[in-house]
This record gives sequence, structure tokens and C-alpha cells, in this order.
Amino acid sequence: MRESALNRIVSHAALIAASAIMLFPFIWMLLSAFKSPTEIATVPPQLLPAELRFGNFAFALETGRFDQYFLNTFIVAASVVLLSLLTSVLAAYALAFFDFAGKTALLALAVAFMMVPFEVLVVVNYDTVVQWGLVDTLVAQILPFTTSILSTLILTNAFRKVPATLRVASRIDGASSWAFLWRVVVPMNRPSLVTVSVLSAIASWNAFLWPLLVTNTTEKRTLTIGLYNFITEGGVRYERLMAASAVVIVPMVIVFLLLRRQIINGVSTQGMKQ
Amino acid sequence: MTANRRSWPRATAYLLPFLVGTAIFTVYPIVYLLIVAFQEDYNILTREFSQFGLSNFEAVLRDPDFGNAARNTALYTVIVVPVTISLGLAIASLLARIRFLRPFYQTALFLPLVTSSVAIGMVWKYIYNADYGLLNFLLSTIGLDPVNWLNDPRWNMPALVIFGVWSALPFTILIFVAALQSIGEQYYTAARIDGATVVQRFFRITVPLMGSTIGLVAVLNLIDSSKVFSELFPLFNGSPGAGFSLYTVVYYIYEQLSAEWDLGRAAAASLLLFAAVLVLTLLQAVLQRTRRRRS
Repeated sequence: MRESALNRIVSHAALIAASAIMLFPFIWMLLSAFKSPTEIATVPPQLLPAELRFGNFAFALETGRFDQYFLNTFIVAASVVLLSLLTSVLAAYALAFFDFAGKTALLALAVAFMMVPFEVLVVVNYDTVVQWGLVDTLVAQILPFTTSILSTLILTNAFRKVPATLRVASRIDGASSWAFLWRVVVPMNRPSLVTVSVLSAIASWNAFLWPLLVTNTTEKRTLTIGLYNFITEGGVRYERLMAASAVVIVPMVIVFLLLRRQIINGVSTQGMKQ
Repeated sequence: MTANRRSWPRATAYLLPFLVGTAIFTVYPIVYLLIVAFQEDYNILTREFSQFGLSNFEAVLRDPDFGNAARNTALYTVIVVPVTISLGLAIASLLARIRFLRPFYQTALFLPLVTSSVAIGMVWKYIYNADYGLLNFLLSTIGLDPVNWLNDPRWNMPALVIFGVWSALPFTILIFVAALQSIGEQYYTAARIDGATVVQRFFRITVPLMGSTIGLVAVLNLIDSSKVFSELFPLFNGSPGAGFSLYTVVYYIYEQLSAEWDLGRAAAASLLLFAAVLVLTLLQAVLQRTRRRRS
């Protein structure tokens, strides 16, 4: 028995309306980034810019130093992704394939610690970074995120699905457990590795509270902090601000469009885990 | 047991990087937070303190700023969570049963998941602009007076709530869709044969069967909205609303750290926040269990 045609039309109409509201700020941002100072402040608001002006982007990147911020953000996010992937893969391998005393307790503790929000940990982590003399460095922005309980647990679950017979076979072939990890387990679990990488990339790219605390200078700022300083230092010029916001947002939108399914799966397991 | 003992050294080698990082940046902070919150007159540079005691908690709880922060955070949470859950469940129950155009809807509805709240908050700031913002223009088309969303303390909370619901919806919809897809189609088919309307099906099948997921999503949203902080920076140029109207608990912690360098107070305040979240989480778990036992 199928849904009636009327029901389906109403459902689509409601979903289109909801989609339009969720999508609108992104469209408004992109359109406004090309506007002139007059076009941005007209009443009633003008939807389309008269021409495609790239001057606002140029201003954000050069004068607003978003070129520097972009580079910093990229370095931080890439380091966080690679390092946390490495530490998580190694730990997940041990948790999935080795039996050792205290493993169950370790897993239970990991789940408990995952529940403590980073906003609570921030206080002592800030103290640590001050003690180590790392304030206003990129290293300070990377270090706390080089390990991830969430990534480790997601990968442990994925690695557990690798058939035990494969391990026995590789051992008979004389392969070490190290070789088995990199030649069999890692290649077999590429989708899960992509999921945890993209989740940590998004989190790092958009981080705000932590970089706000540990950076002071233009040279070490990331995009989100740079954007905040853009309005406090230069006053609000919306056409430039929209271009600068687009520089922050568009890279992650591209990532989302390319990896939509992995991101959706990752976020839903993340939600279900907690 | 012998196998276990033999595995230990190898397992430890693989686990070591993870354990070291987690120990320094997750375990140690929690342990040290519990200590430093009770150290009076802690100095972040010398790490000296006068004695152990409750003065940090006393100072925080007596601080009118913290009271204001707690009230604002609670009010924000109490509005955002139910609104997000109701809208999210309605949208998700439409999306879960539709295949045509689904990739488009998913893209549009979930895009804010990957978006910096500070960056998209700048767009909301423009939309909220009192003189030429889009929202006031829309209000004027239906004959309403313009509102000074960002500079009038009375309108700051509604502005933050709208932005907060918009930001929280994608995650909420996503989890609800995943849960709805695990509800068997046969319930809906049976109800349709019995002549139940869409609305009846929603309240008689979807809502009861989704009880535990609704509870889970409520807690996750509650935790998230009790940490409301970064959303304030784009909207109010880094100030917590006009006239401190949106001073929140995490903003208080941030100020104790960055402006006052008072680690003790920051620690006490973040423990209070964590305790409140934990109590509500446990309460939800208990309610869930009694509900399940009754049914």
C-alpha cells in the first residue's frame, strides 16, 4: 500500500520549506560577498549583486590576513587529522585484536571520560599550555587533539569485524602483527578511517574556544579567531565580512558535498555512542 | 591467563601514544580540576595556593555574575531543547519515509553540521541588522515594526534562540531519521489500512516508539546548549549580549581564565556546570528506565 499522492506532495512541500530555511544563510552569504557597500545596505534588501565583484575576497585575504589564517588552520587541521588517526589506529588495533588483563575496564573508562565536555577540560589544559610555555603557538592548538577517544572507539568497533581467520592466515605466512595491521586491517577499513578523519578535520577547522584562549597574534591565529578579530578590529563591513565568512565555510561545504554519506554515518554513530 | 600476560607488552606498545595523549589532556585535567577547584588563592604562574577549602565554590555561587550566567544558560536551554526536538521530529518523520530528492534534502538540512558557528553567525548578524537586515524587512512586509535584535537586551535572547535552534536542528534531524528508519514499516501499513491519518500515525506510532531516542537527543541537545558560548562572538562582537543580557556559564569560565587568570574559580564553575549536566543526564536515564518498566 502506497502513501497517497496528496500526502507525498504535502511532505515534499514541507521539506522544501525546511531545506530553504536551513540553506538560506549560506546562499545569502555567498550572494552578499559579491555586493558593493551600497548594495549591502539597501532597503528593501537586494537579492543579487549587480556584478560579480571579487574585491571583498581580495580584501579579506590580503588586508584581513585570511591568507595567513587559512594556512594556519590548514596546518593545524592536517596535523590533528594525521596524528589522531595514527594514535587511534594503533590503539584500536590493540583493543580489537589483543587480549590483555584490564581491557574491559580500559574501554569502560574511555567511554566515561568521553562524556566530559572539552569546555570542562579547557581550564586545566590552558594551565598545562601556560606551564609548557606554548601560548600563542600552532603546537598548542594541535597537541590536545592528537588523541581521540571517539575515533579510537569507532575504529575498535570497525576492526573487530575483520575475520579472525585472516589473522591466523597472515601469521602462518610469517607476517608480524605490525605487518598485519598495515597490510590487511588498515586497507580493509578505509571507509571508517575516512569517517573518523573527516570528523576530526571538521572539529579542528571550526574550533573556537581553545584557539581563542591560546593565541594572541595574527601570525598564529586560525580562521575562526581571525574572523572574530575582523569585526572587533576593523569594524563591521558586511560585504567584506560575508566574503571572509565564505573563506571559512566553503572548504568544509566542499568536504561535505564530497563525503556526505561518511559524514552522516559518522555523526549518527557519534550520537548513538553517547 | 598466560596468553593475557604475553599480550601485555605488545598491546601496551600499540596503546602507548593514545594512553599518553589521553592521560595528559583528558584524564589529568579531570583529576587536577577536582584538586585545583579546592585550592584557595591559586596562582597560575607560580602554582602556589594558600590552603584547601571551599572558597572558590563559595565565591562562584555568591557571584551575581555567575547567577546571571546560570539563569541565562538555563533559560536558553529550556527554550532551545523542546523547540529543536519538536521541529526536528516533525521534519525527520517526513524525511524518513521519502526517497525521491532525499540526497538534496540531506544536503540542505545537514549542511550546518560542518559549518563554523562563528562564521555562519556572522551571516545571522547581517540578517538581524536593525536597519537593513533581512529579518526586519520580512517583519515589515507583514506589517510588524522593526526589532533591534542585537542592541536591545530584551530581543537578544530571541535572536540567540533562533540561531541556536537553526544550529541544533541538523544533528537532531539526523539522529531521528536514523532511529525512524529502524521502526518497522508494518506498523504504518497497518495503521493506514485502519484509516489513521498522517497526524494520528505521528502521535500514535512515531512518538511512542521513539521515546528513548527522544530522551537521548534531548540530553545531547541539553549538554550542547548548556555550553552555549561561541555563538555569542559573531552576534555581539564578542560581548555576551547588550548589557550582559546573554552572559552564559561557559562565558563566565572563559572570563575567569582569560581576563582574571583565576584558575580556581574557573575550575569551580566548570565543575558546577558538569555536575548540572551529569544530574540531568542521570535523571533522564532513570526516567527512561521507569518508563520502560511500566510499558
